[in-house]
Order: sequence, then C-alpha cells, then structure tokens
Amino acid sequence: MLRIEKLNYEVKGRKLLRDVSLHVRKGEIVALLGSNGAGKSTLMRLLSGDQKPSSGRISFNGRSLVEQDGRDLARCRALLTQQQQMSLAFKVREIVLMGRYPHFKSVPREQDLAIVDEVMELCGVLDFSDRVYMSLSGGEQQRVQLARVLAQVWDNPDSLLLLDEPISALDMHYQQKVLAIAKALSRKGYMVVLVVHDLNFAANYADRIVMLKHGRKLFDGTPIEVLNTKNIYTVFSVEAQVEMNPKTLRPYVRLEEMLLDEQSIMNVI
Amino acid sequence: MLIKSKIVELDEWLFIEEVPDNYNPDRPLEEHRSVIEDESIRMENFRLSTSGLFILHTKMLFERAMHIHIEIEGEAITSQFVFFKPADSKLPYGMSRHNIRYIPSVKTIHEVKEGVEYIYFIAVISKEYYLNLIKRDSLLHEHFMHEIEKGQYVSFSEEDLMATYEMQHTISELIESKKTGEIRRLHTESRVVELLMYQFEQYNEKSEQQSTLFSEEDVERLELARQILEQRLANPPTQKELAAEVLMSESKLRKDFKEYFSVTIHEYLTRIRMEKARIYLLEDKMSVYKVALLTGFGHQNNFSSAFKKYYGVSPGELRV
Repeated sequence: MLRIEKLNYEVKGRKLLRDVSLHVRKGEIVALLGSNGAGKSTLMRLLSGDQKPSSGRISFNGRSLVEQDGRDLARCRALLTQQQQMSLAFKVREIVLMGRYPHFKSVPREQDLAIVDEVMELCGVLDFSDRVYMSLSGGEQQRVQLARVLAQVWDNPDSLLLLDEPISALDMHYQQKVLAIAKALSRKGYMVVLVVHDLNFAANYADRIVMLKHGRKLFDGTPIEVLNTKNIYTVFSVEAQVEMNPKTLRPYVRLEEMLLDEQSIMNVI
Repeated sequence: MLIKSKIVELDEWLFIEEVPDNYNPDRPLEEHRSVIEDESIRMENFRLSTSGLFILHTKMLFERAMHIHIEIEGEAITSQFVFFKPADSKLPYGMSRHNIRYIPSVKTIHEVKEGVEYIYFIAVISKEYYLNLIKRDSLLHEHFMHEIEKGQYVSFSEEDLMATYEMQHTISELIESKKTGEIRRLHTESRVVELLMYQFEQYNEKSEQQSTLFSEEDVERLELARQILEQRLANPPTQKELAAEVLMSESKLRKDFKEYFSVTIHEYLTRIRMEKARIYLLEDKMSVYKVALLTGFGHQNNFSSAFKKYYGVSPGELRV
C-alpha cells in the first residue's frame, strides 16, 4: 500500500506540488494524467524517494518512505524515468543486469541471470542483448530501460513500479505490450503508477486515473468517473467527445480538431 | 438574479441584467463589450452572462472621485476582485484584494478615487450554478457551505486577500478568450472553477497554517471502513452502522473518508458496486437479474438505472 498525504514540494519558492493526497493499493494500476509541467514527473520522483517532499508524508507498505534503507527500498521500488543518459558503451545485457545490483553482492547469482533473460525476452530486446546501448534506436533504448526496471523488482510482487512515460518512444505494438505488461504485473500484486499522455490508453489499462494541473490533484477516480468533456477541457484545454465502449465499459475519447486563429501564425511569412 | 450598476454621480444605469437562476448547460453565453469615455471618465466594460452566471470586468479611470453602485437581487455567490494602481504608473497592477461572498441580495456603493486605474472583476453565480460547479461536500468550502445554508450574508474570508499571479492569469484568460459557442461555455466554467479554487486554497492555507496528517489510528479505522464496504457490498451497512463498527462518530467518518479517499462513502460504494457489475456482466456473462442481486440492488430496475447513471448505457444494451 502506497499512501501519499498532503504532499507539498517547493523549489526556490515555486510550488511544484500542492497538497496532493493519493492512495495506491496492492494490485492497482493508476495512471497520472496532466499537461506538460503539471507536476507528474515531480510526483513520480517523490514517490521513488529520490527527492524529499517539502511537507506531507509518503508511506509505503506501512513505513515512511524517507526512513527506509536505500538498498531495501531498491528491492521493492523501481522507477523508469523519462530521460536516460548513458555515456559509457554498455551493452544491453549489462544495463538490464544493473537492475539486479541491489540483489547480489559481487557476482550475479543464477536466478539474477535468469531474470535478466526473462525480462529481456518479454521486452523484445533479447535479440540485441550484446549490442551497445548507444547504437540502438530511441524505442529500443526505452525497452531496454524498461527491462532493467522490471528486472529490479521481478521477484517481488509487493513492489511499487513507477513508470514515467514508459511508451513515449515506442511503436504501436510495443505501446500496447508495455501497458499490458504493467497491467499483468498489477494483477500479480504490484502497485503500478504510470504517466501516459494518451487518454485512451489510460482508460483501457488503468484501474484509476488521477488528473493533475498546476501541481494540484484535480480529479481522482475510475476512468468512467473522471474522463468526461469537462474534466478533459479543464486539465488539457482541448475539446473532446467521450463515448462509452459497450464492449469494455470503458470510455473512449475522441479529440476534436484544434483550429488556430490566423493571428497566431501571422509572423511566419 | 437581477444585476444592475450605475455611477451615482451620473445617475444613469450602466447596465441592468436579468439572469435566470437555474443552471442550464445548453443555454448560450452572451457577451458585451463597451467603452464609455468623456472628459472625466474612461471605462472599458466586458460583460458575460448565461443562465446562473454573470461576469463583469471593468477597467476604469476617473478624473474626480465618484461612487459606483452595484445591486444584486436574488441569492448568489460572488467572486470579487479589485486591482488598482496609480494612473501614471507603467507597472502592472500592484495592489489588489479579493473575496468570495454569499449574498441573499445586496446593494453596495464603492468609492473610486481620482487618478487611480482600477480593474474590477465580479462573477455572480446563482446558488444552483455554484453547487453544480463545486460539490456540496467539497472540503474546500466546508465552513462557507455551512453559512450559506443559514441564508445570511457571509464572506468566505474575514478580510480580503491579495490576488496571486495565478488568479490574475485565470481572470485574463476568462476575459480574453476568443472562443465561441459550446467551447466558450466549457472554457468559462473551467476558469470560474479554477478561480474559486485558487481563492479557497489561499484562504485555507492562511487559516490552517500547519495542516495535520491523519493519525495511524484514524488511518486504520478508515481502511477498515473501506474493507467493510468492499466485503459487504451486497448488503452494506448504513453510514451510521459503519461509523459504529469502526468506532468513529458518523460526522467524523464522513469527513475523514472523503478527505482520505477523495470520494464520499456513497460514491465509493457506487464505484465498487459498478466495478463488480462490470466484471460480472462482461467477464462472467451473468444475467442482469443475478448481477443486481450480487451487487446489492434489491430490484433489477434499481440496478439498471444506477448502472445507466454511472456508465451512460443500460445493462440491457450490452448484450447485442
């Protein structure tokens, strides 16, 4: 159980998060939605324990997050961030194996290696496991990072999996597949929090949707409760029609074409 | 609601606007812009009205002190802002104050000084419209709601507060929007809610100082309450019974549940019943009759209408 209470986060007098409270239960997959700069990634970093809140409390499996030992935490909480800088010429397998570092002392055990293979297969990166990471395409790199993150908590279903835009660089097939993996893991007991931009992906894969704006939590509920024309406009300033898909009982969001008034591109010519 | 305004010294109505009280999302918005200019006055007015809502934004500068009379007939909630600065200053409006009020009906006269540039903003919101924007049980305006129920004039904040940058920005978005039709309405509503929210938030921040977290004991009780609801959704306890089972007072349970889980007990129960119904119908292919029983709706009709209200389609429409 992940419990976030009255979280505030401030940098140089700018409030990036205000009074955010949120719960994630074992077996639940929660999607964070919001426009750029709404505070999604900030919240993810706070949830991972990488950054400390200015005020408020995060407790994870009954214990305050900040009190937990780093190595213990690394075995039950994994974060996939948006940017991955990698300046050394690591091979794919080496990077995925890094996910197992919290689990072994100096030499990886057999089970660590088995997990690495398993997650590489799942993420479709096994075929290029000996290639240098930097030589891969953006989408391939993203899958490798995902494999590393999965490897980290693969053998512990009480874990928290934090995925910040895990599918931003992926093709359609892998977008669906990665979300399906996240959902399947949640059904095994993992708590999953993910940031996505596609409302329909959120509607189809998430148990709950939390919408942020200007660092505040505005809406929190099941897809059908929160995805409506009004809320979508409030959060994203876009016009959308929301229909119900009777086969899944999940909402289906259709965006309307956005028209610019002529003045806004007057200076182009 | 009837809203009218005049400059006392000129004794001529600037506008008289009749706004229906009811909240009607289909009613179009009407906008008016006008400029009044003579040797002693300069006013730029923007008015927007629709059923349940009236907005006035006035930028004004007077050569001599005058009085502005505003009259509102009918029960309303107002969000008011005044920004001001010396007329010769090139800087943005440095001074401001704002508040939210509930008025059963009111006549006010404001003095405006010479040589000061003012921006006056007011959103007059009928009680019905207001309760459509901000839910009755929202924690943001708990004490205010209590006062509204008494039907007496009340200000949300005892003293006016300074407007923040976010509030100014939201007001300018409201006024400067070039959108039309349905989208203008959506835009207006979302910005009005945003503005009220910023106002509530600033006041609450000021008054609470240190917000308190739940005690471990309270958390356990709330988690227990949730478990009880989930385990007995086919025959759930009343809120009174639930409170007794978790050893809390009913009012504390209601308030804390809402704050802790972001939904009321009733909404939560609806959510879990509907989630269960979804699985029973779609995955387990059960009959509507059986699902109605399993989710605690005694009668199939009650279930069907609750289902339709939640999902927008009736359970019968799923089997085609």
